[in-house]
Amino acid sequence: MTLRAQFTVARGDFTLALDLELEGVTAVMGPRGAGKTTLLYALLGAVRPREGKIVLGARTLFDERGVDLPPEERHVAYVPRGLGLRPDERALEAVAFARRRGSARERRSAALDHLGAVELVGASDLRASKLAPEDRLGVAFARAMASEPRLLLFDDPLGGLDPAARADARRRLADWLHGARLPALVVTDEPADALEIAPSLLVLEAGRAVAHGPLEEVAVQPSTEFLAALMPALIEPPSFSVPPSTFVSEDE
Amino acid sequence: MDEGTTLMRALGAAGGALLVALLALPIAVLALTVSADDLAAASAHGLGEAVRVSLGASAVATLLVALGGTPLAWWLGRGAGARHAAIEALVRLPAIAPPAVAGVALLVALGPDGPLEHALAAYDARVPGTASAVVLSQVWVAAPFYVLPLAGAFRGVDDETLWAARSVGASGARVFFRVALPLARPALLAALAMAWARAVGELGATLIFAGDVAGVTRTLPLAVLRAAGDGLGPARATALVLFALALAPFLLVRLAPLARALGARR
Repeated sequence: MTLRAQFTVARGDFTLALDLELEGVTAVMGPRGAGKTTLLYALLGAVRPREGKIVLGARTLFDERGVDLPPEERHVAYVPRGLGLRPDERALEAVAFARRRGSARERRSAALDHLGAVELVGASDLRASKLAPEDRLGVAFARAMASEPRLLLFDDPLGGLDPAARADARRRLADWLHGARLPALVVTDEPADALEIAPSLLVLEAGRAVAHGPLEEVAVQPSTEFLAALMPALIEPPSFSVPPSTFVSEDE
Repeated sequence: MDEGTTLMRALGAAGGALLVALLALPIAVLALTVSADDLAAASAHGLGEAVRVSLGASAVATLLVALGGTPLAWWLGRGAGARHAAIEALVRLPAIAPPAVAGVALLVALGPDGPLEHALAAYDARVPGTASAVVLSQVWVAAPFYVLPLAGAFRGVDDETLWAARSVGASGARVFFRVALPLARPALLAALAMAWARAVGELGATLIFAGDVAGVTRTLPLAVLRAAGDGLGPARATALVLFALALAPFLLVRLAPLARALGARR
């Protein structure tokens, strides 16, 4: 499945203008205010582009000439920074919430399958607030998968984790994304995340794509300061014996 | 620390303690001095009837506030701009306006020669002096105490969580009932308890707009007023019953999470 997105979004003074074709898993990086979250919002249908077209596979999600599918009909599953789970909701309910059809029983059994895929069947009855942060990410992933998505959007999914848990969660997330066989955008501040999770990288700065492509190609010729600062981390992956959060991006 | 600061602190502590005593002491004395005789005297003065009138009117008033106030709070909390600020100011008005003003205003608007009188007369409906007038007075007084805190709670629900729920297939309505309302639940229950307490305690507007008819418009606050004319005994018993009625939902809202937490620990 291919995502083709050519659009301009204006939010106040800020404009995000992109022309992209994406397949597989892509890491999205960029300094604060580059438009990473706005990109996700435009794809899921939370903000309306001023102009352009967003096509996912054979379906047009948005077209300035009169197509603007509501978020619930786009099959674009979005996992926000805080993971978007209700703290008081049990894992199984949270996942069943995303199931689009079937009886209550079918929803539950499908939800159990999705929790099984992230090895969290044992956590079914736990409330989100009682889960370890990395397990909360698993539940959020299962919920996204239960919604029959055709595109996955993650906004800094590993951001809330401490370095030790992060390396492990990163590996698991990479596995899940690989197994999902769906196009996905994963916003992150950590080069190590991009290296392990995504074969390709999209770098945004001030509402424009300054680099886009397979990691090894992006790393060749840095055209901006942000990219130049990013490159060493991308070319020489930090060894996992050192906490991977030693890199400080402009987001911090 | 210099002497001035020490003095200021001492004065502040004394002032604060005095205020706390002033707030708590009368209620404590009231609760401690009511006797069985007082209660019997109050019953003879129609305490039971007043409880019935109050329970009925305040239940309806609180329900109406919740039905109209929940969507209004959502709209206020999730938007911003001049229209929202203007409506919010209007909703705040009853919390500022003295109840006597409310009573006269309602009487002028809905009473004889009011602009709505002809419309009401067409349906053979008369509002002043009826149980409906009691309910309207209570709605007027209680609404801001429900709408404004709930709007604040809705404002605190983050966009991302709502969009995430939409993105996994939930309609706007489903997101409201399954995500936003549960997230705002503690604030909603507290606001509901507050609205109930205001409604049950409403005196001024009811007295002017609804009048004092035993069994119809004589709510507990009016019964207190009337009993006070016959000595403190029945008045303090009636007042204590009124206080308990106003306080009960509050205690429920506060104690329920505590009870749940204790239950979960077991």
